[in-house]
Amino acid sequence: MDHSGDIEAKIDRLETIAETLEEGNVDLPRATELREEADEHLRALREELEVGDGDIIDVDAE
Amino acid sequence: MNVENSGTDSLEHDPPDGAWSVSALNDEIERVLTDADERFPRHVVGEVAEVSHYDFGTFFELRDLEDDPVIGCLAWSTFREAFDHELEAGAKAVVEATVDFYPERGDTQLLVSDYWPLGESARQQKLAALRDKLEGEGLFETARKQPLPDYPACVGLVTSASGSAREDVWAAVSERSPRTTVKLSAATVQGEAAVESLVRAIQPLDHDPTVETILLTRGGGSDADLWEFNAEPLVRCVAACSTPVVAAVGHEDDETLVEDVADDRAMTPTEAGVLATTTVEAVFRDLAALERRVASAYEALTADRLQQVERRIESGLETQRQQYERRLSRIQRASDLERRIGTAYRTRVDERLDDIVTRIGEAVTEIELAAEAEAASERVARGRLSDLESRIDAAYRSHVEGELDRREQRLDAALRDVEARTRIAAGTAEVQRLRVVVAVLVGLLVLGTLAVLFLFVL
Repeated sequence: MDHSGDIEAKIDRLETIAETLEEGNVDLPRATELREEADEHLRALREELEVGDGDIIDVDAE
Repeated sequence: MNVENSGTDSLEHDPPDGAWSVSALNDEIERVLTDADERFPRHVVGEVAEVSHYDFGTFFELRDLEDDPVIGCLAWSTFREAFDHELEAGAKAVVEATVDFYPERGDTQLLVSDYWPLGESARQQKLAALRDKLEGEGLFETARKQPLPDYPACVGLVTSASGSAREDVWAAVSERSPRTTVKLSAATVQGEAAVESLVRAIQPLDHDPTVETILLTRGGGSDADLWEFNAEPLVRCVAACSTPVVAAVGHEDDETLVEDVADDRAMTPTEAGVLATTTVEAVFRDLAALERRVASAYEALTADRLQQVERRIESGLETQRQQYERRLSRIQRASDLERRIGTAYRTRVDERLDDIVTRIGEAVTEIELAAEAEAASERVARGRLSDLESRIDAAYRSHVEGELDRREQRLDAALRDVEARTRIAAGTAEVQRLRVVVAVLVGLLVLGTLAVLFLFVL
């Protein structure tokens, strides 16, 4: 399971990709690469966040 | 007296002899206290705590300055508004009060009619000194605060094993972030053993690399109940944590050093769970917004690039079209020029030919006329020459004859004159000399006549 930092890094990367595409200073092949990378991050994040396997664990009982 | 089953079978047995009802007991306590009113002091000294203001009055506790005993106090609003000083928790104070018993609840309290603060209590002074010391070390500075991770996979919880804080935190965390696991490290949260227990509970969570945030919680209580959360070892333990710590101790009005040194503070365990997590719905909303931005920006960018390509193609086509039109125009112009040149050439040639023909015709005519004129002139000249010849001949003959006549006459006259004169003045030699002269003159006349004739002949 990803730590918060991993999720934040992916969301930050998505933000960067969105800003880069919004600035429009990339050529079409690079834009397509960024779009595909963003789709991959979105898929991974949704897969990670949709998991509802959280639990409460008593560490003294471990 | 049989009281073994009095708790559950009281309806099946009579109460023991002499047993009082609660109401009777409280009424008796109230009567005794009223009778003993003179035995109680009018002024009581202690530390003010747990101050709660209401419209009708203010409840607070007066704690023994040396020990734990406390007594509840009530200052009705009419008295409270007459106080010269504000009631402040932690203050060492003297109150003017009467002992009051509330039979409905069996509570004894002081009805306060006046209040004088005497300064901070020794415990408060120690707390203030510790606060100053920790502040001097910079433990409360905002710059030290660690940010809480937004999407923790695991949070640690330090709280009482028996309290409701555990369930409150779990309910908030599991509802907001179902993927997040809560690791509970139970501790004693009140009393002398609390500090060591809390430190022992915090440290393993801080050393656990999977724990991203530690929640330190304790429900509400009196200042004394929460006092351990001001203990220096616990405060320093929290300050030393490399894992962000959220403290939720007591209620909103309670202030402890642990909360001051923690990275964030919550009012309740539930709020601590809220602070430590982000709702998965909010994350999905953010992701959806990012997805829309990426898709929109990508579509805009691709549309822009396609438009650029389209514009370039259109521009190229326009350039080609213009070049074709220019070429066509040049061809047309060349054709026009060729036609014009041809026409002009033909016209010019025709004009020149016409002109030449005309000029030739005119020249021929002129030549013919000239020839005719010349012929006429020749004829005239010939006529005139002939005429002149005739006339010259005639004139010459006339002139010569006339001249000869006149010369002859003059010669005759001269001769006669000479002869006369000779005969008269000189003699015969002179006559001879005049004859020679006459002969010469006659010779010259003949020669002149011959020359004129020769010229006419030519």
